[in-house]
This record gives sequence, C-alpha cells and structure tokens, in this order.
Amino acid sequence: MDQLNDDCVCHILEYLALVDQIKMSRLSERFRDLLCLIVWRKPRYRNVSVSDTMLEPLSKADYIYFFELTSEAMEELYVWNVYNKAFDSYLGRHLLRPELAFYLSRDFGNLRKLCIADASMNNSMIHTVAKNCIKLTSLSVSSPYITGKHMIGFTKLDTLVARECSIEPNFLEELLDQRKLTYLDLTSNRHDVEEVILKTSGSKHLQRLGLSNAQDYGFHLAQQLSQLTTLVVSYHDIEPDQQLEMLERTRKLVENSNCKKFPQRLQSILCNVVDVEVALELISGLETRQPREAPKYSELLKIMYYLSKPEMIA
Amino acid sequence: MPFVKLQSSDGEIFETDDRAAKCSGTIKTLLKDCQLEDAESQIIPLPNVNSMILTKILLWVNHHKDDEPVDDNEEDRTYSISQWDAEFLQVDQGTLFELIMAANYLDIRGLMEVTCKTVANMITGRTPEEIRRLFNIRKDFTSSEEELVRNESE
Repeated sequence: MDQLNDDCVCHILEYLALVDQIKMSRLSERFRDLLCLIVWRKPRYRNVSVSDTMLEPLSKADYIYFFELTSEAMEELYVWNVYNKAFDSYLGRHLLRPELAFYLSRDFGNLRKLCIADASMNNSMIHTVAKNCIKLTSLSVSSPYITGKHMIGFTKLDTLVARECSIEPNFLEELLDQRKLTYLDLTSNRHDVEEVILKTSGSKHLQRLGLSNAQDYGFHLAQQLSQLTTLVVSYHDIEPDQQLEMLERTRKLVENSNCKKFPQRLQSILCNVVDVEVALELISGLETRQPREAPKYSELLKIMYYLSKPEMIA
Repeated sequence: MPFVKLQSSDGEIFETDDRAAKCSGTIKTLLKDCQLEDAESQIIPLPNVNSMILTKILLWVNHHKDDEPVDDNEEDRTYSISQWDAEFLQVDQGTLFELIMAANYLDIRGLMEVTCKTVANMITGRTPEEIRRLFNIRKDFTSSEEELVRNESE
C-alpha cells in the first residue's frame, strides 16, 4: 500500500469498521497517523456516545486504545451505564468497558459537551473533569452527590443540566454570578433554589430555565429574568387542589401585572402536568404550540382529581 | 456525438465520447474552464495514467456513464459491489492500486468508491499478520512502540 497517497489510503480506511480501523492503526505508524489526524477527526468519531453501535464490537483493550488516541479531539461525549456491561464470575467482577474513572482521567482538551448520566458522580469527580475539559461549555450530570462544588472550575460553562442533583444555593449563586449561564436545568433538585435565582443578578443571562416546584408557576421568575424565553416547571407530589389554588393565584398575578400577561418575550412554558400546561398557556396568553381544545376549569378539576384519585369518580 | 481525445502517459491517444469522459471531475472541470473552442481537435494529456490503466478506466466509465450521480450522504453508504464491478476488479493488487490512484487523480467518485471498498473487503476479517503479508506492510514502529501496541492488543 506504500504506492498509494494519503488521500487514497484514507478513503480505504473510511470503508472499514472501527474494529478493522483499530487493527490497521496497530499495523503501522502511517495508518495510525492517518486515522488519528484525518479519519477519526470526522464528526461521527468526535461526537461519541458510549452506546454507539460502532463501539459495540470492540474488545475492552481496543475500546481503551480508541479513547486514548481520540479523546483529545472529541467534542461531545455521552457516558452512561458503565456498570451495565459487567458480568460476574468466581474470579470477581468483570467489566467489558472501563470504569467511570477512566473517562474522567482522560485529557479532553477539545470537549465542548459532556453528559455523564451516572448516579455515582461526586464533587471530586467534577473537580477532575473541570481540570481535564478546559473548553467545556455544556455539562449534564445527574447524581445526588453533586452539590455544585468545584463547578466554578468550568470557565467556559454556558449550559448546566443537573437534574436530580443536590445543588446548594451558595454554589449556584457563585456559578450564576461568575459564569454567564444561558441554560440551567435543576429539575428535581434536593434544595430549593428559586430564591437564589431570583436574588442573584447573574441569573439575568438565563434564556432557558428548568425548575421544580417553582412558586406561582414561575411567574416571578418570568418577570425577573429579562432574557428568559423558555421556562420548564414541574411539580411532584402536589395535590390537585393545591395546583388549582396556585393556578388561580397565578391568574390574578397575571391580571394585576402591567401587561396582563406573563412577559411577552417568554416563548413557552412547559409543565410536567399537561392540564396545568394548557391552563398556563391560557392564563399567560401564550400561543399554544399545537392547537388543542382548551378544557374549562371545572373539567380541569375533574381531570386532575381523576388522575390522583380515580376511585372517587367511579 | 461529441467526443474527446485523451493521451496516456506513454503517449497513446484514446478517443471517447464526451459523456463518459465527464464521469471524471478533473476532465469535466478542464473542459469547462478551458472553454475549448474546438474540443474535438484538442488532446487532453493525462501524465499520471498509463495506457493499460486508461483502457480499464474507459471501459468502466463507458459502462457507468448513465449512472445516477452519487449522493454525498455518508450514512447512505452501501458496502455492496455490483456483479459487473466485481468482475471488472478481478485484477492483481498492483493494478487495483493503480486504478485507485488514477480514480483519485481523475476524480471519478464511483470508481474510487468501488475500488476502495474492494480493498476494505480484503482487510475485513483478516488477522493483522495476514494483512501485513497481503499488502507487504513494513513494520515502521520503533521497537518500544511496538511493545506497547502488542501489549495493548493482548
């Protein structure tokens, strides 16, 4: 193959499955360089999810080898279920894939977007990731051990999705003040953080916000945050009558506000309770995303009761 | 029917119809950019392609000149090779590589695709040692590097 120029060799390499590409990269330095510098720089190798079908046939050694050669150039990485690949034998536990720590310790100098859906993530791991991913703009994690500590280490952070975490108000305040976050999702956070979001001037950059149990369906947030266009509120373990009470209060707040609306710039309000979402769209004067019939209040009441206590209707 | 004249590296002149010649991006651009007034009297020199390879290539483009243009969608790549192409590519390795280089130089997408796939199919499923022997690949790693590579492959 020596007579072929680099362009031709790359063409051939591109027609190989990843397993065979890795085999070739171990045969000669030329193949390895062409793979690392050209073929594996294509988007499908730079935006990687650990459940990608292209990674599936790889042995653990090949998998590690691939990450060692390419992690520096990766731009997006999605990691989850690292332990799912395990089987047990009398010799102990075998993992077909490296442990979470393997990903965390790699140099991801070009990574912009990282998603680690692993409930064992903790603050010191965040610290490590912040050191290894200096260009990270978007982080998505979900673990009760994450409090927001060390997150300030992500100097370019723009998007933080931390559902079912334990983000503490003081860390959040620091983060909002020093990093211009435009997208924040703290759905099902252990601590109530609405107050700190309302208080901190740093939250004015937010364009999209996700929050659980926001007061008055986020009316105050929508008023306060001048850049907000999308608000996602969710409510858990709240009785229908409390929901209705809050809807009524929100309706009055809207009526008494200057423009008789949720601020107009708000493009959508999403809620995990569908009927509340419909009611909010009515109250707030927002265009519905798709035309649907608006239920009357009494019907809404029935629906909500039915959802929570179906036996009462029957 | 308009035709063009092509000259191979060893001086032989080939006449082919202009539609077949335009399967080659290189020749197509050349004809368009030069706006040759009397294209039929001009000879296009192809200093990188010898007459044996050019004969093969003209055979291929004449068979494929009515093909739909290939879509640039990477996901849609099929890995199959048509019967005709498979028979056409029953050649020794040296010729196959020369065809690849000529297809690359002349920018004939379809031919490039089918020849590279053929080589890829030769690689798939073979052990590293077999590949090394098949393509006569030299070991160009330093010994310590090779040690590393070997350890990793165990």
